[in-house]
Amino acid sequence: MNCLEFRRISLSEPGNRAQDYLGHRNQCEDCARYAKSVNDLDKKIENALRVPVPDDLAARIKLRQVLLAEQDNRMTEWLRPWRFGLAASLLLVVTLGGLFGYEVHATNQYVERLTVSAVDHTRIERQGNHFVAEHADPAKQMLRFKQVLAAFGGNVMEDELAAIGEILHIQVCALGPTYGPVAHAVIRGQQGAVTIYYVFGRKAGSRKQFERGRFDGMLLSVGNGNFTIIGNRGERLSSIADTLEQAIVWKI
Amino acid sequence: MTSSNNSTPEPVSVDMRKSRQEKYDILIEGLAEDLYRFACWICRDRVQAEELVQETYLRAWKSIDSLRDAASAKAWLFTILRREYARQFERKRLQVQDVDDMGELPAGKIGFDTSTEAFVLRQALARLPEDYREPLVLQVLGGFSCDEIAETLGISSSAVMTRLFRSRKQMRELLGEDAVRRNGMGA
Repeated sequence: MNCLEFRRISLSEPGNRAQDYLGHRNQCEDCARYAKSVNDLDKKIENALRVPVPDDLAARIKLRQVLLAEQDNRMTEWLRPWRFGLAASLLLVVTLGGLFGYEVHATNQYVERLTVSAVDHTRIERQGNHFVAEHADPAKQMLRFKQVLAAFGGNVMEDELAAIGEILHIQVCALGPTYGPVAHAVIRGQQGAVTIYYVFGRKAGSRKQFERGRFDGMLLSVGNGNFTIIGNRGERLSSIADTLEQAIVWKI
Repeated sequence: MTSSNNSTPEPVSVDMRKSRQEKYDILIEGLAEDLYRFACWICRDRVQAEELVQETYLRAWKSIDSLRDAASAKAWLFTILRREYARQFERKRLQVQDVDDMGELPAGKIGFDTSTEAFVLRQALARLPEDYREPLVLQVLGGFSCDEIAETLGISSSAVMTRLFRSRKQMRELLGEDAVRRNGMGA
């Protein structure tokens, strides 16, 4: 077996136990390392997908078997699709009228809540000063930034993004219960640290500036959400927003 | 080559001479957890996942007499689950397509690991074409062999191997694994 064939099998059956496969792995250090990296990635995927199983799952399955089998048959008879169709049509007619006005109002409310949450989060972050402790390799920080943004559907072009300056910190965090996972980066600005959040959700529309406490902020709608950029007063937020806009291609 | 794959965990042994109820109980004890985790991944909601697993077992109960081969019990149950998911949740999934496209996973709600690394991995996985993603999840999470995946998906073993090869290759590309190794940045 040659190295090419070994790696092909490694990627399709990492647990292969065929003699020629195992033999090659024992003889070729590069391939052994490659197989290990494939296995390590599988383990990470497995751990990332592993969820706790409810203790009483089996008991509930058995209970359901006894209690619901008959009831299910009766319900199926009653729940004819046309009944749902009729109800849905009526609901659509009633709600369509109020939908447009609600949309504008809801966007304004969303933007207000988002900026408040982002500034609060930034204030807490600055008090803790967590990111200052990070002195990671710039290439690793850039790779991590790319990986995190890719998870949100953004393809980062490194050359373009370099203009943004030093990336001090990048992670996925929770901004609050409303927003789900959020990309959270801190970069070095001209007036101190600048915090950047990327949040999925209702798009704010055109670029919006805001001021809260000692912070200036800017909202930039891209992809399927918004960047919220927060820096100290007088920070070059427009220039940072320009860089983010130009350096990231979004999968929509 | 597929028959040599020995990556599957301890197989569930179903004695076909046992009574319906005994066979059913073995299927629950041996496979409910694997089914639940797979259901969590495809539904992305714990409540729906449990509902799906329960429906799967109800259907399995109704047709347990059609299970002739003990060795294929696991693939048989997963096939029922996939069909049940398609039947029950296809409409719902279409409604939330935008959310799926955004890669939003309600990780906390499901109970997934919420670390950045796990999030990045799940998002990379979510970005794989479905044809590539499902065999990989079945193999990594369900511990299926290529032959079992082939049976579950209704395709040939060689097609499964091709998809698994491409899915892992794409995962490594999406995660920058190969680049990291090339640049000597990896561990």
